[in-house]
Amino acid sequence: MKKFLIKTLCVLMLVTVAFSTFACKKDPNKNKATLYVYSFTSGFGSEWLTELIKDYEALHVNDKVGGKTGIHVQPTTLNSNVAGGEMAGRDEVVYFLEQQDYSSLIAGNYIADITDAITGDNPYDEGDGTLEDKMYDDQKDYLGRKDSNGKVHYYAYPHYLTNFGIVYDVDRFNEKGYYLMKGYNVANGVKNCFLGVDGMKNNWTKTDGPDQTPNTSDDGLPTTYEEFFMLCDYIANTGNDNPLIWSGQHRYSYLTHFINALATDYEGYEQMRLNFTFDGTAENLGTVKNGQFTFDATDTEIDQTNGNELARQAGKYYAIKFYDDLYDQTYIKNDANDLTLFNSGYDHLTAQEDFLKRGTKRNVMLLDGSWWEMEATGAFEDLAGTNDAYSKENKKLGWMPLPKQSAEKITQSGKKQTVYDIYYPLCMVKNGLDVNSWQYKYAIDFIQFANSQEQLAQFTQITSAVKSLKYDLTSDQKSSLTPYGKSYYEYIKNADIVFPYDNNVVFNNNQLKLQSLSTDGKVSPLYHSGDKRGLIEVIEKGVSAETHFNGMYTYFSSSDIW
Amino acid sequence: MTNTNGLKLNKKAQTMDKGAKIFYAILMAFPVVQFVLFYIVVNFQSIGYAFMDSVESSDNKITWFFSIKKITDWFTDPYKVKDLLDTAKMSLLYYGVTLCVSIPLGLLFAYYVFKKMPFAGLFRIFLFIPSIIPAAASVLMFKYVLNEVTPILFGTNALRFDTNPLGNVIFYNLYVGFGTSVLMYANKMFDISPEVIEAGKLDGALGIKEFWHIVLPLTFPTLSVFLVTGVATIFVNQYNVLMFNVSAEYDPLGRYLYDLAFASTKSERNVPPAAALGLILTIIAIPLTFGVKYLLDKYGPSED
Repeated sequence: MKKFLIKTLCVLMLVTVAFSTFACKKDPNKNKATLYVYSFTSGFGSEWLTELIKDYEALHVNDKVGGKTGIHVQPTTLNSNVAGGEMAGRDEVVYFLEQQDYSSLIAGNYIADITDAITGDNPYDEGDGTLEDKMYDDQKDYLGRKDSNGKVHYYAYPHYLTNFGIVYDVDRFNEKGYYLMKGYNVANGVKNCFLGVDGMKNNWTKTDGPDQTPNTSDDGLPTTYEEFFMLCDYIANTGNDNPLIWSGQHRYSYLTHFINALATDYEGYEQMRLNFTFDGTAENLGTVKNGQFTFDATDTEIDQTNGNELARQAGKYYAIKFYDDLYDQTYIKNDANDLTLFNSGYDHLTAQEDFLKRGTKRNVMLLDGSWWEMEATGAFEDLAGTNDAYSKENKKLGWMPLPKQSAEKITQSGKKQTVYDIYYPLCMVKNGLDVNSWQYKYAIDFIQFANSQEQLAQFTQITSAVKSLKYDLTSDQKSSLTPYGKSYYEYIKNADIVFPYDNNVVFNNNQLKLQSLSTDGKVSPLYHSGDKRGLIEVIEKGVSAETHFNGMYTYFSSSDIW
Repeated sequence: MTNTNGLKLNKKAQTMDKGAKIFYAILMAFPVVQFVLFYIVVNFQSIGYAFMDSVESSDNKITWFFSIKKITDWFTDPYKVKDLLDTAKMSLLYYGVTLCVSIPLGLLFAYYVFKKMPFAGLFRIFLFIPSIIPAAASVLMFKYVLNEVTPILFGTNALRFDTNPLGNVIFYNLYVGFGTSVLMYANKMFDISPEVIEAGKLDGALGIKEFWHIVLPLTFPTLSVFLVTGVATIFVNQYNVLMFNVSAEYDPLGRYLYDLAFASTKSERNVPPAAALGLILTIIAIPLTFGVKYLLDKYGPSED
């Protein structure tokens, strides 16, 4: 019996070895030149890169490179960045990374000059366009570095846009009539300010919404903080749904991003950019006493000696106060939310799945980033497996324009929204390659291809997000977007973008203090009060918005930055 | 050539002696090279960084220069001082709990195993298992059990991780570290000669007396190692708070240092503050460690 067992085991092992040896297919890329690409891969996933590579390889299938035919692009997709000093020892030539200290990468000679890719005509676009044409002015000013002769050199190119906000369930809003009714009167009670089920059935008129234009997709959505709180109240008490959901595990970073999104939208492009340029007139500074914000009597000229004054921006206070007020609401602080919103084990994927799920009581708004739809692909697929109405293509979801602090603010800033690029991702090529080598040439070519009009559109079609670049989709391309993708695309097209960088001495010397999030994402430099617990946690611990806001000014005033 | 007893060695013995020396040299080369590379070389650069600062000019050139500002910042910047005091307080708390709870309990449990009481072997295995599971996995399981299982089992949220994060982190660290210390102490106890124990019994050393007067003094060299190395860990141990993702108010010094070091991976310019703090902590840790060792050697129970 024992011998039989041993023989059987030997035969099984032989079969396994033989099977794995002969089952191996011949590597189809063996005779191709391989270009290695590294991509920091998180929420946006890697599908966009896979499709990009497929298209690129197909285009260069007959290229003759160093005795080989065709180009094979080998990606490395990991949820971690590569430090500049590590690049030289790695195979990857092209890098897509987030939150990089660009100045230090250049100073350390870690990244190559890729001006050719950016200022040269892009062979993959029709006409005489260059990649530089697609950049925003702030990107050109920061990424383009002048040499002693005044010639501009680029060492990186922008990648995707990472902003934060509110995703809402349009299907549920339509079903339950979570829309403000035109001419509503708060005195009649919150219950009577919304369309409700009856209003939806009878086509009652919605308010004009954040864009202040009737008959657009944002009709009936809240325009002010007050209306937003009314909406949450109505959803919780009349609709019997759960108004908001977010990842309890990532709440410290996510909610800080959310507060920053509100503050950015309040301040607008010009004022928010002062936090990085330190050059211009600050118009919204003030002080808080007894919960009341009082604007300074006069504007303040900001330069590189008094950037600390920007800690007194009204938008920052109102945004912190918004969350402080939200945190006190019953529908946020109830016991059930101990298991979700404030549970350190409740991750973002579960929050997304719970947002998408059908149930008697639904989660109708999700606080998440521009990457969320791609990240929730698994949840969409699971739910669509039982009901196709839950697929990305069919489920009606939307990106909600952020409410303004007051009705007066809507008049001031108009319909424009302002968004903040949290992680400022960049595409780079590692230094040390011979500019005449095929690797360098193909790296340049790959970057040009990746940022051609066709590929930018494909990125948006796959991820329902956008690259941090100026480009438009054709009507055909737009119609192929998911309902959520269309909503987000329209929102971004009508928004200004604040990039958290500028090429000036103060910023470059203090990048860690002015731009970088802490390793756990809890502390955002714009809201630092010297308390390493970070903004969200101190509010949870009972510190008031006023105390934290005043602490920010004290902290920045004692800093050696200025 | 003569051997240690002054006797002349034959040629074969001389060759063997030479071979043994080469073998010994090769064997010792590895730790020596490791020490040179990973202590002297690495720290030489780190020490240098502690005395450096840098500025970037308008034409994006970075200039490094000698400065003690990054060191003095840790004593003058009120926010840095507060961070240091807060994290040091937490480190001392974690270390104190280990010292006062884990070590005595570990010794008693090791004694239980040593005396081969019921299920001693089983306990030994069960206690050791957590220390061989990767921390990431065991932290995840621990949190999962507290968050998802205890509410079902006991019908209350009182045991959920978030209800008492500090207590849970302390408990986890005690639990995970317990197995290793029990194993080490028990192994040392098993080395105690049965004759010594028997002699003790004849002199009336039974039960707690046996533990106190015979077993503990003979286990003391191992305990001493734990106590001495434990002092150094005050400054670097993260006590798994990173994986638990708990509030920053529970961060020990080790976690704080990790953040500083992580920031330095983004840019070389962020290295000096981390290097300066590392140097300061080293200056505190070295005399403290040697001091504890001296005190234990002088006042600790002797095997004699």
